Amino acid sequence: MESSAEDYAAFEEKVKRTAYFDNMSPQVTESVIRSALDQFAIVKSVKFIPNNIGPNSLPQSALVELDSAKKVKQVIAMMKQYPFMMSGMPRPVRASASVMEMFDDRPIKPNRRMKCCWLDQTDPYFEVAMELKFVTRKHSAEITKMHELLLKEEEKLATQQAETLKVHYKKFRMIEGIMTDKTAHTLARKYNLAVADE
Amino acid sequence: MKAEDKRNPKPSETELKRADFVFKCTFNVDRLAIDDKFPDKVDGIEVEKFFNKKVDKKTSNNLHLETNNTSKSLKIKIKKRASENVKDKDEVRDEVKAETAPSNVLRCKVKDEVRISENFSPKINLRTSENFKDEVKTKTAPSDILRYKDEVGISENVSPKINMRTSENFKDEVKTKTAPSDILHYKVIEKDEVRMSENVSPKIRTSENFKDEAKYEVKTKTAPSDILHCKVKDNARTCENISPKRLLDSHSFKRRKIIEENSIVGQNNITQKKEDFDEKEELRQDKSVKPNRRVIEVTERPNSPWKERLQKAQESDTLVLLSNLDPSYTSYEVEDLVWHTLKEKVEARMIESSPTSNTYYGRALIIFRTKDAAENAISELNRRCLILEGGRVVIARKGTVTDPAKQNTLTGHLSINRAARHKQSREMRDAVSTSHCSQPNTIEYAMAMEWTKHYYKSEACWEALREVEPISLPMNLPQSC
Repeated sequence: MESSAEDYAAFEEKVKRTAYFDNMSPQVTESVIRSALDQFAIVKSVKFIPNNIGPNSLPQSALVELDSAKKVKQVIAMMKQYPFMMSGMPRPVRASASVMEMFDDRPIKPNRRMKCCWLDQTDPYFEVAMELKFVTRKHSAEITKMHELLLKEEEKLATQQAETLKVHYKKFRMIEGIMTDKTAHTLARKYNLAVADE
Repeated sequence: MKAEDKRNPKPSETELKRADFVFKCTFNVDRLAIDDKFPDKVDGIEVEKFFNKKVDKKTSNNLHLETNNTSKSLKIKIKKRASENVKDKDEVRDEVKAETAPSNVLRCKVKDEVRISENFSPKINLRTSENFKDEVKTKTAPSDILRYKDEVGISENVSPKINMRTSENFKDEVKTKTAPSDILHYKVIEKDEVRMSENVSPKIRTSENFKDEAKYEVKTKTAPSDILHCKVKDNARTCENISPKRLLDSHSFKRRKIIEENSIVGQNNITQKKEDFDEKEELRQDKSVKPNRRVIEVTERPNSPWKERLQKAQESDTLVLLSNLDPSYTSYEVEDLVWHTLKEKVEARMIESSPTSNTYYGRALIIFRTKDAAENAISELNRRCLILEGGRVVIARKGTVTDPAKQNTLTGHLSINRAARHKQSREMRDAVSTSHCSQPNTIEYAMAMEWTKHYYKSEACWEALREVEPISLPMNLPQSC
């Protein structure tokens, strides 16, 4: 099902106009993305990438098509500068430029010729190929392990931040408490200090 | 039939009154002359068959009704159809084989349906009639069926009458061991019934042709009840008049419609064909009869979503994960690849690459047709080596997909458990966190910065992994391969 050169070129244009967002919460929906990005650019389409393989706790990712490649670059630059929150804090959303391989409905490259061949035991390269298979399997195991490690890191960071947040919250509650029941003011009078009334 | 003829059983008073037509004379097609006397054999069919039938007690009413009627118009129809009838016979004869398998029965039906409808490929019909065969579960005795039909038979709906009658006639056929020559005779009787029901000739043709097949089916050793069932359903299809009360037929009819719809959809020019068929039906429609038709719009059949199919495939062990593919392959190319190398037709989807995974190895999820096919593929790819361009060796293993149960929140999204919620004002409680850029003077900014640091770190890790990995066979794929 080869596509024409024009179709392929048009698709390439589309890829340039599309930004890849990940580290999104599972609660993020298309409307959320649209309303979030509408402030920066016109959103043409949103496509969520399903997570078929991989751990369940992986964050969501999506491909968002904007109206021009320039806008995409601007959005990505902005997101790098300021952390952008979507449906939850404080983990920000990450944006990057999309590539062809991110689209599973991409057209076939025109004039592409695929070749393959079977190697039997009699072939001189057979042993090498079997070794290669082993190496590839090892690599995929490493990749899986990497995923796991990174996820663990993230969880660690999250729990650490949760602790920090609790402490901060307690602190602010306390401050609020003493301000409302005028304990601060009483103390201030005793120490001859001014209390800012904010 | 000719009342005065000695050979003809006398009709009762009521039957005479109810009869629309009474036979007067015959028209000899050969000599092109009107004849008063009814010959002993018409085209090889004994004259008794034309006369009023000696009937069962139970079916007396209906049978008499039908057999009382012949007319000139009927004969003219015979004349018109003479050549066709001959052709029918030959065709049907050709189709009949010596075996008694039900599939042969169905095959005859198939060919005829093809002629009738001209819009369906025989394959489809075979499938549909086979489905019917499946539906025929009860092996009721022929008499039971007849009884059933009796009860239902007298309704406003015209064609079910035909259905009923054909089955009755068929039953008669079952009793007598009819020779091929009887085909024409039964055609005539069919015409009787049809004539009585005031239907236009194309309909006759269809039901007649079924009668042809019926003949040969008698010879095969299928249970008569089965054939009856099938026949009824076929007639139902061509006539397309089913009253919903008929449990036996309507259910199968609907099923058939749906089955046809599904099978039709697989073809090109689907809607166009369906329109043709509908048009034909319109043409055939007699103005005096209001058929209850349920026209189905043949749109693209609903495909279950990919995720569901993946789940099903995993449960049935037909899911395979191929890795070390070229990441620039598309899903179609992978399907083609599997077709050429493993000779299997599959469904494939390339897994999208992401910055958090290795982009060198392309992976795809393949759904095979059967469990055996999947296992064979895996063992084959493990035993031998499939080399792609660039020296990649394809690896296969059993695919597993993640449980679709989604998580509610993301790791890293924090929320404060506000115990004193009721103290807050309503606005505060209703406030929802909107998407925004975090400002540097907030706590969340600091935390967000920590996360950003984490992101950069993970990206660096992946980069490092990527540098180590690319290894491939030190050979180029020779042209001869």
